[in-house]
Amino acid sequence: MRLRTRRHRTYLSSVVLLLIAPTLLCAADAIDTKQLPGILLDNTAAELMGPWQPSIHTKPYIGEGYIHSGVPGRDEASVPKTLTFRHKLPKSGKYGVYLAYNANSNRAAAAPIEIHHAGGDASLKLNQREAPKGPALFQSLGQFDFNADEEAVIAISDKDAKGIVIVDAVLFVPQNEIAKLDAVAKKLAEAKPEAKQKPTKKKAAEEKVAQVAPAFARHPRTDVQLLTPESLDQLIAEEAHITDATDLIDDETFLRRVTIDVIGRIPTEQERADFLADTNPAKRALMIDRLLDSQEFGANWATYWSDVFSYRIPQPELTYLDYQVFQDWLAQQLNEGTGWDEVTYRILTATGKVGDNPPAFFVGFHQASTSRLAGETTRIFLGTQIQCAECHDHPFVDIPQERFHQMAAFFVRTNAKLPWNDSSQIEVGSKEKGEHKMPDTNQAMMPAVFSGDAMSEGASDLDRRVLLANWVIQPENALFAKAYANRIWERLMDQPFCDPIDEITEEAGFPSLPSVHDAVAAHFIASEYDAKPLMRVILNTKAYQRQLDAKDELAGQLTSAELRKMRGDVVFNSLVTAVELPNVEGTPMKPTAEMRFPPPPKSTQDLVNEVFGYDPSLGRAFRPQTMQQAMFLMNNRQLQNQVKAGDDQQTKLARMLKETPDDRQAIQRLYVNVLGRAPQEKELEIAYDYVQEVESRGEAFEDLLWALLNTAEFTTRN
Amino acid sequence: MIRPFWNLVAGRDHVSHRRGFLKQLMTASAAGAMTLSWRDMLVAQADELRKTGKAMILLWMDGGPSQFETFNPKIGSKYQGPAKAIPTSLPGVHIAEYLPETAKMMHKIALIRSMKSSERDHFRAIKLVRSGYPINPSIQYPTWGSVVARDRFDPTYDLPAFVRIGKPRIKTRDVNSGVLGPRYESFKIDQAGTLPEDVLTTVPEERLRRRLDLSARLDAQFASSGGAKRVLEKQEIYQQTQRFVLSPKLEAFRLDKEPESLREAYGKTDFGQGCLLARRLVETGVSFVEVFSTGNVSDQGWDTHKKGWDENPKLAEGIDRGYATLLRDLDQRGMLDNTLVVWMGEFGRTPKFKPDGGREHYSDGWITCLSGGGVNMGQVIGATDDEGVSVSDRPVEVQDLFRSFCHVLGMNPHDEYVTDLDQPLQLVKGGELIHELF
Repeated sequence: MRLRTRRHRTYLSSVVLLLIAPTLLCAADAIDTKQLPGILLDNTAAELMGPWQPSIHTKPYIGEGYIHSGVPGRDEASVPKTLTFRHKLPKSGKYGVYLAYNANSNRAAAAPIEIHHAGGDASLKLNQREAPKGPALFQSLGQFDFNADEEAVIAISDKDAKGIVIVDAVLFVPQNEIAKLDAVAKKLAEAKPEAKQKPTKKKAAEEKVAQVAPAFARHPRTDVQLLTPESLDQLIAEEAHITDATDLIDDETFLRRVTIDVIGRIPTEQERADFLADTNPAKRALMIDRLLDSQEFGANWATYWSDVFSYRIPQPELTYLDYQVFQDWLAQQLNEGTGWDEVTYRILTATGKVGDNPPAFFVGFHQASTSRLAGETTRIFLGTQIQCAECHDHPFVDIPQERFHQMAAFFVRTNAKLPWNDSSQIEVGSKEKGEHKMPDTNQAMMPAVFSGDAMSEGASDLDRRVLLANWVIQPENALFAKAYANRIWERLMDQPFCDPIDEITEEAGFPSLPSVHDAVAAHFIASEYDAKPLMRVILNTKAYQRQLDAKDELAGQLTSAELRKMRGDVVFNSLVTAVELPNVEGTPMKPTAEMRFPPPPKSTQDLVNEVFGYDPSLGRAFRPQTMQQAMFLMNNRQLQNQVKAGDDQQTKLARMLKETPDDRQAIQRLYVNVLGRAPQEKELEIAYDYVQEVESRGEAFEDLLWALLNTAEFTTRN
Repeated sequence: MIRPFWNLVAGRDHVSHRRGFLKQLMTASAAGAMTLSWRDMLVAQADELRKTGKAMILLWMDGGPSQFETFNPKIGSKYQGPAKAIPTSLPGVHIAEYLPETAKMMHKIALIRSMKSSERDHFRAIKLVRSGYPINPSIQYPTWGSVVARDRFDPTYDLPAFVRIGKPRIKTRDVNSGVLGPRYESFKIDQAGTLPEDVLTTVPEERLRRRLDLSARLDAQFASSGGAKRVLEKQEIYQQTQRFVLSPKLEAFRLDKEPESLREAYGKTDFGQGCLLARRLVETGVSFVEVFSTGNVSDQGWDTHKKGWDENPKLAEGIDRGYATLLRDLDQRGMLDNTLVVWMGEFGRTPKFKPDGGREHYSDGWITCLSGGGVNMGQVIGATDDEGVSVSDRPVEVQDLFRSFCHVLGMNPHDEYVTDLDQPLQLVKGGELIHELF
């Protein structure tokens, strides 16, 4: 966007120059701006376009609050917004330009900022998930020359910002006063320990509440290479010694497979028709891009990760765990491309209420259990199972008992308050004291990472968890990216590199294709731990797009595609797509004196998950088809209501039959809607004969729809 | 007919799978020479064994019933409330007046008054008493019904091996099949006399069969293009499901088949009718039935912290006829010898009481009653002191109870299974047989 200065305009400057009238508006929440050199423009001085939202939620701030671009999901967030500061600086010359904001993980990863200066326009992207480098809330945007007779213009928008844009104030500091600003920064930094020397009781309590981990900072790594689908295919062919493989799948099979894998449902009739009609030779790659860009991508994979965590979190006493808050948060991170390193850091270091800070669910839902958190942290984030070492040295591999307890010691000062009934009110905090003790000897065990030195006694909870998180996510820790790559590979290719999926250490696992595993993990690191580029490269390979081995004659990994049973959420979403299954939610009961702990009502989606869900960390042998699943598809009342075709019915089937009087065409459409493919000739004949045999057309098609929903194929990704 | 060890993972093609191999080794050694023949026999004659094998009915008093107001009143103790003691069919043995019908069946009960555990928290105690293992944050031990269901699993039998009737008073305080997975989870009936909706077909049998047949024919294309194994798995499960939902044995779930006088005798409470259903299911070949008693008034159930003097008579009335009639009915039908009936909760209640009769949790001298399955009935095992404060004779631990269950049910307590997380687990760990029972 080219910025034009507007020379002939009037604007209200009286309220904006806090430096001219530097009053402290609210001593407790606002920053003392008196000491700052230069010219400060509060957000109230900016010209706003679009529905920017005023807020005083995150303290401190400058002036009477700040503005933001809207909470994702609300209407105002989706409306484009721009905001412009214009000011004629008193003297021509070089100025340092600073923006004040508050950081959080839901903030913009790339807030676009344009600066109109004497030499032209500068544009940059600011990552507001990272805390401003100071002083206080200020982040330098660089130094620029400005003319006194021309307006300095700073324009900020929320276009492609990947999160909430926060604007609190802008500060211009003449070059010769920047040293003064640095001095102020230093003073502010020193002021803190002074205050700590004489803490009043009240202050100490406040500090306890305010404990928050430092903002995430990425560990850079430069020696990792991106893959291309071609280079990955080549590597697979070499490593897996593939000489004979199945052919590539046709377009409709590809569309169903990739739609299930990326966004967690079967494609619609329209999506299939559009895709088949597309003549662009690059349409598969374009479809992969489109699916990865869809909001359903984050929602789908958030439920996968929710399954990974929740299947190993036992039901706590008197509080029903609701993972929706976590799923919504993770879906947003996935859609915005937040790195898995940052997500992991936030999960391991989170404090506060789950409702306010969803990554706190991990410690909170585990009720701050040190042993479970130790075992689950290494299992999920590092693909390393140490829980057997809780009681004894690991029987198979070199994991001494100490290692488990050193890991447990990282969590010994976490604290979780569980209020009754409502899991979003679970609050994660820190204990002031306490060390982890070995079970038999009662010897204090200090936290230490697998090959590292132990921390010194008395380290605070957050120091412990921050150290652990940084160790887990650092690029030198090869297990971190490999654990993730192993899971994604298993989801997309059905066979993980290492089996079990959550055991990838060299000692315990049985790796297949180790150099492919390493290369895929390196690609993930080089993509800054963003799931989308990782999946993109895999989905575009030939290896991903192979047919099933129909004759069961090909040996070896990746020579053909494999079947997979859909996860519970995928079955539900596919039923919604196929027959418009409604999600009946039920009304939650309020606790009463008689029923103090009313269980939350089960929605249709909950029911489907209960029946079809499986622990995704366990292999195929642990995803048995059950009688409950069969009974659900055969008899469930809500589902059967969608299989009705009577004239009085509002179902998709009834509509379709009205629209399509020709029986063969109707059969075709039914196949496409339920199985995502056209029927084979023989199938068409079987179905057609059946329809002719049954007297009522409606009843015949009801039976056919029922039969298709109950095929093995419907709940299978092939 | 093969009894599948579904928790055994086959190694992947061309990949030597050390842990899978170890698992097989462990299972093989756990089976051992001695028990292998026993297993072989089971595999060969599972159906025969299930028919003759003993069943178990667990009557679960959810919340922890007071021993003073049920089976161990302490007349003369300062801790006894208004409940009086009444004589029973067993000379010299008195129980609380709130269980007059049960008193008449005391000669068919082996009463243990000296149960002891260290768990006085519901959550922890329920985990212990329903699985036989103390709570472990890393392992979800299966409830005992699932362990029995695994032992008795028979894919050719129409009905599930493990049925639960009623619901826990608080949903979070529960134990399920845990590491044994969904196959051995209980089949749940919220209220006796109704079946879960998904069991009931929505179309006439003839049309359902037509639909199933059409679906199977439409599976053929998928089977021939790479989905053969998946289709085979589906067909097996659908045959089993079809047998179940169309089974004449489903009649067992219908209570209107029973004479009204007998339904009346069981008591028209959820628990009473649940006991009647339990008998019908066991009669039809179900191996394990749980019947929950929660009082159905509030989620306090047997957890009588408040209004104990008011609540205990009502709670007892809710179970008295059902329990007594179940024992009599089983006995009259000649089924008691082959059916172990156990009455218990997760613990007992404190001697000290509040003015309204509320008592807190207490795990010293709580109650378990056993009948049938060949145990010696008409006896009292163990005792508490005169005040009812602590066990004075023959303490019995939870693991002892489970060892004895194994003995009755013909299961080897040292038998191991491998969990889905690769851990070998014994059916029961520790404990000694309660020799008075046999």
